[in-house]
Amino acid sequence: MSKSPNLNRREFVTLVSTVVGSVMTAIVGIPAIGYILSPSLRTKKTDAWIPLGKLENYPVNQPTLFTFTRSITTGWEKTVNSYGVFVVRKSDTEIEVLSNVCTHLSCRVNWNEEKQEYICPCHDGRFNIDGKVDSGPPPRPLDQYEYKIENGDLFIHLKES
Amino acid sequence: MNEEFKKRYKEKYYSLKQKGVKFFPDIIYKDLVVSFGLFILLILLATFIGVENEPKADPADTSYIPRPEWYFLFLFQFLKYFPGNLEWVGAALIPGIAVLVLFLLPFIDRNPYRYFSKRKIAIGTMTIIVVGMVVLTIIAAVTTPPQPTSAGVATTLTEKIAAGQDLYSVNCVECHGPDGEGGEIKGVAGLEGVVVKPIHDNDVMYAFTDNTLANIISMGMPNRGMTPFGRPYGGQLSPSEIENIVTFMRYTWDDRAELPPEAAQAAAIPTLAPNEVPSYDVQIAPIVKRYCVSCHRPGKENNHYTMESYDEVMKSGDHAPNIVPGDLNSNLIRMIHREEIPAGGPMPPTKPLPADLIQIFERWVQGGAPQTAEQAKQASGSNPVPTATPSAEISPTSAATETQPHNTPTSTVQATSPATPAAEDLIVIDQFRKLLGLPELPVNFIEKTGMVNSPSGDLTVVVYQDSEGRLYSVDQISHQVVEVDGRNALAAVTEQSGAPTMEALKEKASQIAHALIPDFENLSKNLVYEESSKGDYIYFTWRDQNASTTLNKPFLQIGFYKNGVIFAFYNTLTLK
Amino acid sequence: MLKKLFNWLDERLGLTSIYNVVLDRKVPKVNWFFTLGSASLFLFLMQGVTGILLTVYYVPTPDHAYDSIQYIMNGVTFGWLIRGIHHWGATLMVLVVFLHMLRTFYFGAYKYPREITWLTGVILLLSTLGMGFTGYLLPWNQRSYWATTVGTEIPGTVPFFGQFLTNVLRGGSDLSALTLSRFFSVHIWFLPAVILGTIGIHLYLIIRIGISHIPDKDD
Repeated sequence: MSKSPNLNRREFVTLVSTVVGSVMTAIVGIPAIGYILSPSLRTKKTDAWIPLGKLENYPVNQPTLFTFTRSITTGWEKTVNSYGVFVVRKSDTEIEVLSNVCTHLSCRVNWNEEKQEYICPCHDGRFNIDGKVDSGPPPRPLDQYEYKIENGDLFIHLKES
Repeated sequence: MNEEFKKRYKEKYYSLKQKGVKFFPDIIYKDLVVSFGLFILLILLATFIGVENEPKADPADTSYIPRPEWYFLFLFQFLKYFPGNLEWVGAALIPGIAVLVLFLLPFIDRNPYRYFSKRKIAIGTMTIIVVGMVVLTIIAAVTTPPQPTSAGVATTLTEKIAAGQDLYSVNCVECHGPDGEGGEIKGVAGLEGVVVKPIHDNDVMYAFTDNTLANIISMGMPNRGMTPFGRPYGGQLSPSEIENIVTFMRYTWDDRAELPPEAAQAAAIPTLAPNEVPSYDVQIAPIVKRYCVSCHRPGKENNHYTMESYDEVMKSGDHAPNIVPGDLNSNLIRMIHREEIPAGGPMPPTKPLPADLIQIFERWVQGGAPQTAEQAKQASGSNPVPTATPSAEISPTSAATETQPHNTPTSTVQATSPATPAAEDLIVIDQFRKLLGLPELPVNFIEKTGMVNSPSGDLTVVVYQDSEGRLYSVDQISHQVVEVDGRNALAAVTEQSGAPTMEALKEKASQIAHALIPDFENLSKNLVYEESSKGDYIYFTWRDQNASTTLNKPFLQIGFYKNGVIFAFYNTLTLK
Repeated sequence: MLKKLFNWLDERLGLTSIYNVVLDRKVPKVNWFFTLGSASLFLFLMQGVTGILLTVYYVPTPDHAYDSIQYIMNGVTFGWLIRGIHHWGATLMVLVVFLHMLRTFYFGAYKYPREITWLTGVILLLSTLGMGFTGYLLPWNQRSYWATTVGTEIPGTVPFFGQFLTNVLRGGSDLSALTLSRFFSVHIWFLPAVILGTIGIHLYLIIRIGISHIPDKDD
């Protein structure tokens, strides 16, 4: 059974349309996917030592909240991000710097002096003075910052990527 | 069209259809080919021509020549032929009628024939109109004057910061200082002696948003003496330019914003290798732009000494020449040493240039004030050790030093040699040579001098030379070797065998760095590592990009000759 | 299996009859000039796709329009390509649509029975120019700002109600944020809606009446 020439022609045009159509879709479509996704895939790079002032200003065994800001540019918009850390001084030289962001859903925790706990206001997650989970939903202890002390000044290493 | 024509048309069309082709595949095929051709054309246009970069809209810029999109150009040109009171005829009436006629064409053109020769009037009219439109478009395109060229539009952050720094240098430095430090204004008409507060600290950077800063630059602060710079208020700057200045200020002075490393690199004045002769293009131009051009440009009080190009720097001015190649008594050199001479007073008037920059100037003039890097390289070759050849010509500078000792801390060459080497320095050099594997030959004291490229700008070193010609510079505060220049000794060692691999050299450099600097492992986390090779020389560099100094960031550099011998060494990382 | 699926769909969607009516029809033999219509449609679709993509980042306010375009050009992967296609697509589309109009005119294709097809075609031509005019302002750069300032001044020359027309175009007496936002709205909603609807009628008439033939000496 031989096909008529006309049918061949049709098949040919169908084939060409499919190929040309796919090529065009690919040439526009693949860049378009990159175009839409690229800002979401871009990693924000922060790597800086933040000065937190004189170490002696921080009382021993008393978590003290220190807030600072960093300016960031997203797209064409410049904003200032705010960060909070708890500085806990164990002794003259030994300290811990804890993030105030709850490890559960990123609410900000507060230090409760009476209960000697960090309490998250959102889902009642509780952390002890070292940031270990006491109770509630948080999956892991509060994040710690790397720190250094230079000439009595405390610095923490802010690293985000 | 009467019924008979309609019937005839229908019959003819029917028979043509029967003799014709199927829409699919025949017509579709052609459509596909044309559309795909257009698609390829589009991609090529978008990729290779792209979209022209234009500055941001500036309603205050009256010099801009409005230009419509090309397909409206014919209308734009058409309007020029109508006098003012009849403008509406060309602008509205004729186009309006044209559109109306186009709409009603099937009802106006009642001619039942379709063949070209039977529709002479219609086809003739349309052809004239189309030719007219094409001609008008061409006339418009040819006759409209080109846009006054503006400098390339800064698009990336680095470009914006660089553009902002240049604008800051020209417009702001004379009052606010090269680093925004402010101080007492000198040499600015009407503002003599006014004290300007610093603008580079957190008081300004935290309290003022970008918008506020832009507004201040644009409108000025008339009651404090700051003139407006924005075009709408009588200044010269466009919104884009002001935005670039604000971007530069924000990224350079606000400690909450991180200056992109490539921007920092672009802003830094290129460092000099030991005994390299600087060139105008590479080192002098950036310094001049940052510290001098703000006043030394047309329209300012500067004895007609403008410094915007090499020729101007060398030749312009009432007291020209201000630079004589090879002569350290040139006006410019004396004035940056803060001498009062017939050509004028100390320069810059407010604050001395950092010592290392003065040295770059001196080395440049001594090396013959070359313009291009190429010429500078030749100059370096013919005069290999310019800084180590004290000559009698320097003495007037020394004389000036006696009256103003604090202003020339590093540049004077104290010709106290020969003298005995300090025992302490010899121990330091010996330890150092053991570490680097350099030959332990006897050394002689050469000079006590300032050092170029030092981060603090006022480092005093003692230079020793060994019997093969290597120069060792020992810092007198931290007591360590900060610089080795072994180029003179290269001839003696080139016979050594073999060319080590890049990996081996890298390994060696890394070992030296670790042995030399305690806690290098930890320190190197903050350092940017670079490898480079120039001809027979291979350099390994660790650069501290986080350091706060704006000029020469501290760095460690170890340079090998191709045979693996260390011929250059530089370390300012561990200075206090 | 595929055949079964096709039959199932055909029974419900009438794919075969669409094929018979739209694709499998006989038309007179024509030349390459008759591809200009489909080329216009193709370019319109390209403009639609790239235009939609541009709105992902574009912000139609004087504060951010320019910066957001800069971001598209430099910050986003392939942003330059998307905007490049849209920019050049506009130029090509005006050209191709105009040539399509000339082809229709020279071949007398606007005559009986295609008068309404012509009318819709003129609407499409004017809408295309309108898209060009409104789209030109959106990047909010020097060129677009000043071109639009002059462009919106033109109706102002009409005696009596000219100034009113200019004010309507600009949304006030000056070129402002209001001008930008109304041009944006017209560019992405009003005109595309008009164009889509008119293309529908245009295509329906072409399928119903059939494409015109190349006139010979007897016509």
